Amino acid sequence: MINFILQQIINAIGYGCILGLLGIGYTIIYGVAGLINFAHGEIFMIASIVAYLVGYLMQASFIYASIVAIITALCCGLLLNYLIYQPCIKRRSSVLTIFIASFGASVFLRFLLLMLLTDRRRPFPIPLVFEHVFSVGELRVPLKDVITLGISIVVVIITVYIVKYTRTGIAMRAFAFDKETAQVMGISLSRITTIAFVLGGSLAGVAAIVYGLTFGVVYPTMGFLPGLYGFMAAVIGGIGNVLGGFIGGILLGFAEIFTVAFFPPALSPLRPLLVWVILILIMLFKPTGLFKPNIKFEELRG
Amino acid sequence: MLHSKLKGRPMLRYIFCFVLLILGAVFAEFFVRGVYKDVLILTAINAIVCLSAVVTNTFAGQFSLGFGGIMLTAAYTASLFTLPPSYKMVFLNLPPFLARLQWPFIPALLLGVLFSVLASLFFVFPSFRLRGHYFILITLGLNVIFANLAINLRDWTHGPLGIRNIPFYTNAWWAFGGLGLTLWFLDRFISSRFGRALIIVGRDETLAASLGINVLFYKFLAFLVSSIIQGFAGVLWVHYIGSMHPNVFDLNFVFLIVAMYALGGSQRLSGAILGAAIVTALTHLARPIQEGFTLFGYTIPPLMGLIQVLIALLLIIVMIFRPEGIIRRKI
Amino acid sequence: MSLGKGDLNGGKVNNALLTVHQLVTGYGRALVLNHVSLTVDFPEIVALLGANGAGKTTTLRAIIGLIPCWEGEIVFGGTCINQLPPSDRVRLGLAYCPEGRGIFANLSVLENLRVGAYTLRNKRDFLKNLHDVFALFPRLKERLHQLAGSLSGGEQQMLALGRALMSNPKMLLLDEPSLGLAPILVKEIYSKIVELHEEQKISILLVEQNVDIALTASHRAYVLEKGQIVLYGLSSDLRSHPVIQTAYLGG
Repeated sequence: MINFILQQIINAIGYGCILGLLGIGYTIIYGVAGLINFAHGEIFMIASIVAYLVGYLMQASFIYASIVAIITALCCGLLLNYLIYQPCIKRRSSVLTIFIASFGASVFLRFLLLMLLTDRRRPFPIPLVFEHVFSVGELRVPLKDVITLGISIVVVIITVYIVKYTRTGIAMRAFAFDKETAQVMGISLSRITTIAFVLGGSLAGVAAIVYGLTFGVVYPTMGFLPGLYGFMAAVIGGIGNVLGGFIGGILLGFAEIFTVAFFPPALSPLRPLLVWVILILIMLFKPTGLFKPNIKFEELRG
Repeated sequence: MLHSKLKGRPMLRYIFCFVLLILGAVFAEFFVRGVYKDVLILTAINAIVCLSAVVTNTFAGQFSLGFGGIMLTAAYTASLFTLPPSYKMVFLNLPPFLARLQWPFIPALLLGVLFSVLASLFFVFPSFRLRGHYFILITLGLNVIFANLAINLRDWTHGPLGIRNIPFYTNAWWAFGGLGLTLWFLDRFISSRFGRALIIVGRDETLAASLGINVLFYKFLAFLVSSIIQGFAGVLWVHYIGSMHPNVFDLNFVFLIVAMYALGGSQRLSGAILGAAIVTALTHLARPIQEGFTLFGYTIPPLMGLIQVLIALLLIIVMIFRPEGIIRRKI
Repeated sequence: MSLGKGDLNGGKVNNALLTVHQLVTGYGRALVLNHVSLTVDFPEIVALLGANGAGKTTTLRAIIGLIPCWEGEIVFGGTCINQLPPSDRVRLGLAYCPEGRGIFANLSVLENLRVGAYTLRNKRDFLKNLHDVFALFPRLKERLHQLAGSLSGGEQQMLALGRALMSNPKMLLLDEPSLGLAPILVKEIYSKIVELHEEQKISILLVEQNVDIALTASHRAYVLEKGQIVLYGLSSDLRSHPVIQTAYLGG
């Protein structure tokens, strides 16, 4: 039994890390820019597709494909920021207008790629070396999951360091708390928003790599559900709280994998429901999230 | 300018709309067929849904995306009662009394609306405590949950394959008449004291509370009204198309309605209708282009999803440059 | 001393540090400031007085750039700053202490000060300013790593002031430093304000409802009423002005 649980935990690592990384991306952008980037999942998807194109079609190495993917994700974030969000912010659009624009951006990107590529599953370029599986006692520990965990932990540590100790990170946290006063300290609105999108976009890029390692496939609609779950992870972890976002993602990922394992087959189609039920329960009983959020609570409510 | 001419004279407004609707219905029923008829009738039905969105989103300030689930509930409920027993016996696994009966349209419609109101209660209670992005997320989730239930309750819904042989009760008269009824009802509602209180709640809840308005009651009322309208539209829809499956009112549908609402003009009822017209027409009429065609000897391959791409792009542009939509409030 | 619509003070030549000229602005469609003019020289302490809702905070917010000007001009250090965003105005040497302190409650005292020093170019300047701030407000040094939200009202005001000083400002805009503080603390804060003015030669424009302490600490003052300057002059003169005596000092 213990072995079964441990094995499930190992299986869930990849998925948990994906949601965690997406969660951090969401939380940084929401914390700093005050908006939900619905297209975050699509940045993640585009990075994956670029990795496929570069690594599989152009036969480049895994490292090279990954780097290009992350840079692409970063650029996507910047483009979204400059083309859509900054114009809306400059025109002092309402929260809902920005939401609808964000929703539209997500649909636009998803269907654009769908139109160009069709939803056929395509392979993510994983080096053969990574396919090795360790045997620890009775447990199967795929090397891919170890690498995934390693990458994620390193990235999270770097991100937490940036947010907590660097001048830019402190500025971001100040900005998340009180936009106006932060500007009066000399922090430029457009510059800090750009930085948030660069950071968030890069994280989505890393998430794409982790997804590729874990599931091995790439397709245009892959970003929708992870994106949504990533946002939920950010909410669960406390908006603006980087570590909280990651842990929220891990928890959510684990919850879903565990229900796969433990749900009787008859109920298995109900699986997606569990995630939503968890979210609704947390929203109702602990709307600020499990950990301390980084913005004023009143802002959470609208 | 049209609005200003009609603004103060309800009688003129009613006559104007009445004439337009009659013309629309006659045109749709007798003069067009096929995809054009679809466009007209579905525009009318989509417009009804869009109007309900204006009630909750614009007037009450509760941005809800839950209409998918509510319409789904009404659609399945009503069709369970209007389906012929011959179909039900074979494909569904219902209690005998249900499998044997077949109701006429109106009772089934009313029952469907009733159930959609019950379904909307799931949205009402979260709305009391959450706002903004969180609330939107929960309404999205509820859509997924309802669709999921539809997939899983196979005995009642035939699962992902959906149900067919739904009688074609909806014709142009129902569609346009329904639209007219909804417009008339909302017009009266907005001018009533309920409507005015609701608008204050939507603009500024603290202000409303300080004026002695019971905010919770009015939020409840907004969802009640909109769910009635949505249920109505849902039943009309399935009885026009003749079939129903869990993905009919999925998130793609939600997106299209949001696009209609935002493009046409979220501040006015006429905006909802314009938005519905534009998006419905685009969706249906542009479909052949999606399938690929030849132009001047060049073959353009099928581009599935082009419609959504274009509508999404249009939506983004409008939200940046003209966030209130095409038809704005008179300032 | 004159009673009348505001214009440049006493016909002085326009080499003041800050000049606000015929400022018109408001929120939405509501007009709040109606052709307000004032100047602040280098170095002096100027008080902006008036009842609640007269437009004092709005004036400061317009000067720092949080709200746009509909009409009029703001000139700081010889540069017209109307079009500049707040972050650029700070780099010219303005600093702002918002109403209610505006400290970042989710950050520590040290982190707040670091944010204040955002515009500084190198670590040496940062450490020097930090040292100066600690000299002025020793209590901040004691609470260095505490969360700013857990500080008392008086300590928060000191933090807000210290934070504003970190950017080497030429001029400080203070919005109601006495708000919510006990009289002893008010005296202490104001003595610090005067101290830093004298030591570092920083000009100060302060908004206050507490007319008594404001007139004591400042060289000159303006009185704002319903969006217009109705009175201005030397603080010592204004103190004995009949209008001030009755309306604000209850005399």
